[in-house]
Amino acid sequence: MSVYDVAIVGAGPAGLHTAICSARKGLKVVIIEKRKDISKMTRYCSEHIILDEGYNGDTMIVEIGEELNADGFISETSHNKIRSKNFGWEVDYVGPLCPVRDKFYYSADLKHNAHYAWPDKHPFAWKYDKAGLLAQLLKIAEDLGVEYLTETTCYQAMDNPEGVTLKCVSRGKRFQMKARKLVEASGASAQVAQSLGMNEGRIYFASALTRAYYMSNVKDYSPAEWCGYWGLCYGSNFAPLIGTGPAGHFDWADLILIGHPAQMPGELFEAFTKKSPVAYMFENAKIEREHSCTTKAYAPMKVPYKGNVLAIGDAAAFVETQMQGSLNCGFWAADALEKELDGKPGFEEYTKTWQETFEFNDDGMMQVQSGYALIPYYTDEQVVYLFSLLDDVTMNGSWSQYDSPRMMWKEIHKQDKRIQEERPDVWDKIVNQQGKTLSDSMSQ
Amino acid sequence: MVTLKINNKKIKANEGSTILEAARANGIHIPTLCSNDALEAYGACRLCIVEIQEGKKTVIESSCTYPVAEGQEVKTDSPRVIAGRKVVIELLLARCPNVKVIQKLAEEYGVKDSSMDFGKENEYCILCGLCVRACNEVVEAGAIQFVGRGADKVVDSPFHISAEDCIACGSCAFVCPTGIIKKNDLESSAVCSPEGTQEEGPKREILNWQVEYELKKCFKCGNPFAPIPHLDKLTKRFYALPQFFNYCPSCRNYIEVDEDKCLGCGSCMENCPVGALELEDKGGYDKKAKVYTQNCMACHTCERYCPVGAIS
Repeated sequence: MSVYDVAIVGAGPAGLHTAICSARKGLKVVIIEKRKDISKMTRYCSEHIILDEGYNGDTMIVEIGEELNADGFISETSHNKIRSKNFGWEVDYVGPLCPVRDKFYYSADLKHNAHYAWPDKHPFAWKYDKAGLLAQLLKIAEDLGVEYLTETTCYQAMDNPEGVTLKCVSRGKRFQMKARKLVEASGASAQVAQSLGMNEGRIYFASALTRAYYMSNVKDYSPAEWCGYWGLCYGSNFAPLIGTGPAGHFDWADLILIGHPAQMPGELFEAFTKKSPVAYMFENAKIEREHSCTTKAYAPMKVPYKGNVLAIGDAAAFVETQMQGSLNCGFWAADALEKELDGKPGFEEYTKTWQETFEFNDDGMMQVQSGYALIPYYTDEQVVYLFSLLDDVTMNGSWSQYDSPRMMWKEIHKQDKRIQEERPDVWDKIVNQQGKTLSDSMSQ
Repeated sequence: MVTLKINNKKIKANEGSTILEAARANGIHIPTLCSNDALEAYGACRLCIVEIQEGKKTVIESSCTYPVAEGQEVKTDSPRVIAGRKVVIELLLARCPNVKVIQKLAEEYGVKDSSMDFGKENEYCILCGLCVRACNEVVEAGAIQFVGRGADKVVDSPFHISAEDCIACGSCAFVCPTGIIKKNDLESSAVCSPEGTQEEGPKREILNWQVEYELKKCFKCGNPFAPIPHLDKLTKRFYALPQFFNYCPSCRNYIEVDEDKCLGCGSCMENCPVGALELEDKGGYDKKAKVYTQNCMACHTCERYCPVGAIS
């Protein structure tokens, strides 16, 4: 009986890019995907290509195929190219793009905020159409002869020296499959990695229950902005966010609410749109579409492989590998697989590259999370004070979830003396903030 | 398939099966003490002996270990078999005069008090090995073993101290035909020390292997239902989620999806450890989660990860 060279669990950016790159090397590849049709996004995703220099160890270059239209977007027919500067791969993307130029973190009074933007206002991220990109990647993969199983869940894998046996279920029917190597690319949930014990020893922070509302007629909404609202008056410990609407409807606002089992995002919606200081924005707003998702926040794996199994993308990482990180993982994974199948230590090389490249593999990086644990540690009034220190500063345009809080605290710490004199209570909290993580904001 | 005769009745049996299996499948009774469907045949008690004629050769063999073959003629209650079985029962009765199963067998076969004396008092264990084999083969704990040889052979924990690998599942007590393995579920117990008496929660103790473990309480009804190390072992062995054993078997509810609330994000599906959930396409952006209850193990993991509270 012949077996597949590589089985890939999950047809996301990481899985598909692995499939494409491996198939180009002549490997026999099968992809197992839970969903029926990946060209329809049912799970919520913020869908941004992040241009930050060095973000996740790489710099993305987006070559746009057309100029911005009158609304400030790039149209759906534009033939764009997404390129990696450091690693040299490129992916074609036909679809719309919307530039994101400003990022604001607002405090309770809406006047004081942390502002991130480049001086010349060039975009630091592009909102793109993830479903469209996935469909295009899938087409390339299928043209290369990759086998694609939909509505199939792989829920357990058994690893032997000769290969991996996958236990799958499809529409209620169970079956087994054999492959010489397995790539786990099923995102943060990573059931297969869990079943192989690869998640042991990872720190679990929280599960973010996320609900997103695409809304039309939101006042003061600009598609080129990404706004977070910090304060208990907004109803949530984790800042509600307003971002760019989905592809095709950039004029809709994307309201993102993150909760936990004791604070369901549906309840937060009422508080945020009716009672908070920004309630005025939603007076005439209409909910057009709703999405949701749950992400499990784990610290990254120490070693992303075990035996014949390699975990890539979010499966091995600290939740947000983002699209570019996933594509990078897929690109390296194909190299690693080819070497492993030749009997060389490809996974070890992958691990080395992976550990060196991604920021979140640095232990100190986990501390950065404390930048997101402002609420309820600080009171609303204290956050207003902290943000008022940033009134005269515009920080560099950055999406990065690692750089943004770091930049913010760097600016705040420039005024340490002033804080000590004016607000000893805030200073006390700043001193004690070390070691706070997401779990403190989102403890269950 | 092979054809054979048992007590002059023509019987078809699968190749590789034993005479005992073939007889049982056709409703023919053969007494046994050391056989269990879940375990490998062992041939320790010798009660299941039968007379087997193959060609011109006739042998007395234990039916639990003897494979079926074409043209065999088997007698389960011929005078030779009954005589042999009587000897076995007499020996067992001499060793364990107080064990009910043995007394019953003796009565059935008309065996009177044995005249033999092995110099053993209050011996209950018949060394059938069911407990040892269940612990090794089914539970895969390997907590107990045979110790000693010949007349000194007993079942015991290693070094006759508290069995380290015992998970207090109670399988040994369940399979033991004599009832000598003492498994007690205690509602509460207390530890006395100079600092005072400390109450401890519900526990299970197995006196033979000198172990006691706390019992897990059901999150819903609060009743203790299984020892914690037992559940830990099952969780690990079947790759179940830590929370799978939060509920006792009678409180375990299968999940339901509220379609009005469901947004079809698939978080439940992604976190389901057995792939019991799928998304049903209802056209457009509308997708709803669907449960295949035959796969669902009611662990309620999905409930925890549903961002809209649609699963109950």
